[in-house]
Amino acid sequence: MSEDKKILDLKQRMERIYGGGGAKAVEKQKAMGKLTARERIIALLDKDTFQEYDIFVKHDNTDFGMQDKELPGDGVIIGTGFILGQPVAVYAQDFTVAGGSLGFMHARKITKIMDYALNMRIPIIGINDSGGARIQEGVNALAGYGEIFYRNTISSGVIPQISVILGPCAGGAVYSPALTDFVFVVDKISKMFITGPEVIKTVLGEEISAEELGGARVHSEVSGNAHFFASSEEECFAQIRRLLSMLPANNEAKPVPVVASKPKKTYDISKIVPYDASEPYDVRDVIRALTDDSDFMEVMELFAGNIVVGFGRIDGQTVGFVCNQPLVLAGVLDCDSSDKAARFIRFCDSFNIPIITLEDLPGYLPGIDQEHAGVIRHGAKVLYAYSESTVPKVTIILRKAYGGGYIAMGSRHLRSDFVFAWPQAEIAVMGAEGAANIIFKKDIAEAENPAEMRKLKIEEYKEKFANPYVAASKGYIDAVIDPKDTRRFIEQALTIAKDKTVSRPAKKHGLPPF
Amino acid sequence: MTEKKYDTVSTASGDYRTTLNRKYLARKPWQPVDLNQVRSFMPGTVERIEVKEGQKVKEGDKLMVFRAMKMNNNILSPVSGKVKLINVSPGDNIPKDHLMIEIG
Repeated sequence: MSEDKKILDLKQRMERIYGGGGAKAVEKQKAMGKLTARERIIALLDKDTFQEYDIFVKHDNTDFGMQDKELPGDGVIIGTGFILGQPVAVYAQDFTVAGGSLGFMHARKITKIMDYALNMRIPIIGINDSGGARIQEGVNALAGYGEIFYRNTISSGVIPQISVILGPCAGGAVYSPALTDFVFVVDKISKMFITGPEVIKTVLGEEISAEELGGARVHSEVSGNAHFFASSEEECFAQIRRLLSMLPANNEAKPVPVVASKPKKTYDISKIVPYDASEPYDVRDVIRALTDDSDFMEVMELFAGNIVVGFGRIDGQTVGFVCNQPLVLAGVLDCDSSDKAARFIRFCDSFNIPIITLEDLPGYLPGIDQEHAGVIRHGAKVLYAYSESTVPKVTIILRKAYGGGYIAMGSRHLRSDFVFAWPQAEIAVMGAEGAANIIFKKDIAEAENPAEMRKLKIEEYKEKFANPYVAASKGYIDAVIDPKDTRRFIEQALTIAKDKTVSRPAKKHGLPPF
Repeated sequence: MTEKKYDTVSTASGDYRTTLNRKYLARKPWQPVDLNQVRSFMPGTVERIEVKEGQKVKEGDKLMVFRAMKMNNNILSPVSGKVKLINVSPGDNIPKDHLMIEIG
């Protein structure tokens, strides 16, 4: 063969593999509204930056007639490329090849790129679209899953790990996404479950559609397994690119700063929060009044809306926001919102992202279902995450900070570096009504007009304690500030805390209440 | 040895003799969520109602104000449609999961 012929031969070999599972399978994939695996990677990465590896890898299974089956690339594509100029590793399962089923070599390609990502300290993005384990390969397929899960765990907190669910992801396969930092789903395309609707029907006799059991909406709104919901694959890729622009490449780096800008004038911070503590408002407007260009990327927008978490920038630097949301469930802490906040705080702490807490909550959600669902251990995660974190932490008390909620939401006592309060803040052991009922129980009972006395005592309590000055007198808050100075105070706090160092006793690892 | 009574748990790989715990026995069968029914998310007081029966509403329109956890919570319509039923009146103290408004 001449040199030209060798190159032609290479091209032909590659063309065959680029065809994936064949024209018919590709047509089927498209009919489902899905891109092919290779198209997805190209759409996700910066133009012309994808470099593919292991294209000629073949499976080595000889059982059940598999020796005659050719599976291009063994049903998965791996490689590296760039997103907004930053290097990333990526893999995408190819559903057109044997349903994207995971065999031993398929898994070995994935673990190879995972090892690259960890060794090079760059983020990894996994695109999942697979029917599950390749049954013909038996325990070898299971070994493959186990090797992936182990790497997910070891890479956790070292490099950002992103999972994209663009098709089915069932059985054991779901645990790789669950071990990663952010799970992206697309409406009507993503399906995730341990046991599918067919099994549930045969075993339990309960009927449910795949969409209702484990569709994108379910995981975004009900189970909390997904972090970002998109209505199309294109929107999903745009979300991933935007998220990665705010994250560092690894736990020893800081997010790449961008040119600083001011918040938009449409968000007037002193006009967003009503003085009446029982009136709701959208805390995201306060966030947008603080961030560069009023930009905010919300994480888990559709789940446990009573807490808002996400990324924004202040002075060009990425920060993470953790905020009570009075607009939803009065902004209470409950099992789901605690899980959501704690996980986000731990992500920020792992990846050197300062945490800004905006606090306005009446406390924990009362209820038998909450107590029985373990709100004690779920709520404890928030305390653990705040106490454990060593990144710069700034807390702003906007309005209500009562009881356990006050302690949990980034208080001085859990080692927030700076705690500022607005003048309308109410920092107290509980709301005025409850407190007056207990403290002045006798006065109220013995009064000629108990209702009148109760009102009087509530007012008295409010006057004396429902303000930021009692806490300020003990130094629990650093400053009471005019709302319009909030950004300035945060800016300086972050600048001062830039090289913050904290030393902690050595340990193998802590034991957060899971 | 005393004879132990076993129950059965069915999984994808078959049925197994075993014992059941109280939490498993008390589990409730899944019910699809009916978005047309607006229910109270916790006990509270109906502050005011801002729609009338028969009125057309769009998803996200304000239906009523529900006071719970010392907060006047705006209750928005989860779907577009017509207000079929208003099951509460201002001042009503209602328990959790109480049907307040139904959209048809």
